[in-house]
Amino acid sequence: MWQRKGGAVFNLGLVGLANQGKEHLNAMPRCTRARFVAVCDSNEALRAEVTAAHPSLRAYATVEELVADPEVRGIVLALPHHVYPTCWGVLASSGKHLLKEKPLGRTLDEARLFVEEMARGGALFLTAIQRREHPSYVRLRELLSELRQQGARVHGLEASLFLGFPPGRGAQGWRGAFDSAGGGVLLDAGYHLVDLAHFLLGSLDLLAASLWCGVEPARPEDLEDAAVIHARGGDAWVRLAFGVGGVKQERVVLDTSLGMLEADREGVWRDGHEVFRCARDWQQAMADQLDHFADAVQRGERNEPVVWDQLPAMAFIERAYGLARLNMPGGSP
Amino acid sequence: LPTNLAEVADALREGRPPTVDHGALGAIVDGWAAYFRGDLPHAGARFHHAWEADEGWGSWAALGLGKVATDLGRWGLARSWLLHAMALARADMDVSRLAAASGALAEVCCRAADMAGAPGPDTPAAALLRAAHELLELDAALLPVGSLDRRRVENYRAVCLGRLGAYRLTPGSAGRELRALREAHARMWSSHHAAEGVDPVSADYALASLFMLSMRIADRRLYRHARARAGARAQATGEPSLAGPDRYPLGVIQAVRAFWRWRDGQLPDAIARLEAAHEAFGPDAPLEQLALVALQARLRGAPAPDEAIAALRARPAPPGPGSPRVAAVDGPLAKLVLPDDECPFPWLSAPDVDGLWAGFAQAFV
Repeated sequence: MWQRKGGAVFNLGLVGLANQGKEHLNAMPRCTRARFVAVCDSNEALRAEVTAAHPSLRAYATVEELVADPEVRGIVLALPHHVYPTCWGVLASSGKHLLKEKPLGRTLDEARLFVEEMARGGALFLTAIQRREHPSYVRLRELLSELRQQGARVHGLEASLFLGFPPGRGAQGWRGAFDSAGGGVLLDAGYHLVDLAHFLLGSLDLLAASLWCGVEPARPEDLEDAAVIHARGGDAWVRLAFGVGGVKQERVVLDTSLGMLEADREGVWRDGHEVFRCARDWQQAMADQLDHFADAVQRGERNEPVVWDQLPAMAFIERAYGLARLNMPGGSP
Repeated sequence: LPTNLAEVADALREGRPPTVDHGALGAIVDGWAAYFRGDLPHAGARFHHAWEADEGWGSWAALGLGKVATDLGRWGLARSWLLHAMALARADMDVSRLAAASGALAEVCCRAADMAGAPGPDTPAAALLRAAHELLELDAALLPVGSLDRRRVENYRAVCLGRLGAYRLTPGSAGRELRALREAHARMWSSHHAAEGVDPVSADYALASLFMLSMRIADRRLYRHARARAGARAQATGEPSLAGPDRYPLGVIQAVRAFWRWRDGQLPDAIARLEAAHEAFGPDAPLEQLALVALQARLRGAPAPDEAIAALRARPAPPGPGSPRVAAVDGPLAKLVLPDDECPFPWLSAPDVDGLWAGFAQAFV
């Protein structure tokens, strides 16, 4: 059984026991104010695997059973994107607080629907955006805030996230179909950078978007495997690039009038000098996120900015898809 | 600003080199006048004079220096100046200059891509073409509504798509891989039709791009389409009719017609077309003219114009920026792998006609 450091513990249920769900379970030992008490997945083998590793967890096959568990106060959702509409009504009307893995929705309309239905139910609704909780990006934002207080202006933000998969590796499983995934790398890895850019700079104005499928520009029916976006955010020029392939890398560069800030998941540098160092893994960020969820519920929060921030980010992504597709003529004359 | 703006405007309208009574700006105007008459060394010197004068026209001068370096085939130097121009334009919020420099850097990427080694996913050539596409999207996004440059940028976007498609024509590729070509084709037609009434020069360039694409991918059907579009006059006289006064597109079209005549074994007609192309390009396009001279020599079995090629390659390039400046957002563009440019336009010395045609098709965007 995981040890708590005292105080009230927030009891959680977890829906979805595939990779991302297991990451949440792995982060639990670092949590101080939340714990999982139940899990849910329609896949019997996954339920058996998880309960074998964590015998104290109650396992359910349906969302209806999980929400009926009186001990569960909050639910973490780690489902394939296309499954949410099938169970959102049950979840939203259950009165349980929800922490949903990003993206907020496959489309802006779906995201709005989720937010509105949760608002009617009166429970807290958050999205899980681990980079906002990762120590290096938290420190980057603090540093930027300190520089702004000293009068700094941000001239530019350049961010990239490449997953480093070998060429020709297409999206797997449900991510490989447009209807279930909702989009390609822009909605997946790109979502993190779009959110991070909003987190650091506020609202962005889209300028240009290029989506790629292999070497060619992506068509509307393609799941893009690379994308580049240009935007303006405040006084800053912004370039975001992401891809399934390429050399595996992740970094954010902020050019300010008081120096250059650079961050990745291992640290933060100012004008080339290291000012912060942290562990690269996600476990602390995921544990902090669950504790943050518990704290927000305990404080009675119902209107956390993190979920409302997702609507401009979703709108931005949808505009990027629209612009990139608008710029591709269809078919031959 | 110069005090004799009215005189400058009159001179430009009448096609005379203007005299501008303002140090840096005058040098920039001189530089462009020299650039458009094909005198790249003088253009480079004038732009560099404007750069060194440091009178607040830095992004303008850097843009000119980048264009000169591009036309000299000095890809690395061109990129340095154009990234510098972009950094200054970003800092000054000079959106027009940023758009122009983005488009100019896209041209460098496009022209360098063909010489950047073997094609394939995650290769330098693919990265350069993607960068070209990205930069042209940015260029288009930054143009003001109704900008006269829009059709020109549309043509570049179509050409870039065509190169992406042609790039995919590797052995064994078929079907889906031709999508970008179909779309390039569609965009060139669309651009041609849209520009015809309002921007005849861009309409002609779009048509010339269609001809060039037919040559790059050796697609006779596309060539026939392009010829049919080139006008009713072509049926009567055998000559294409163009809408605008710029004769460069006619040079491209005649060169492509020469290519197809050569493919058909019509050697005398191919040579005649090359001569017509040479005349259309005129002395303002020395590289194009020399390429045609080299082709004619090969077709006639005459010696290659080695001295002229050596002289063209020896044209002095302007110096680079002392301390190159790159905006943070443009950092990835500075890391793109460019092909070696120590010996510009290596295809001019290709040992066979095929190599010369391929080089000609690669070199002109």
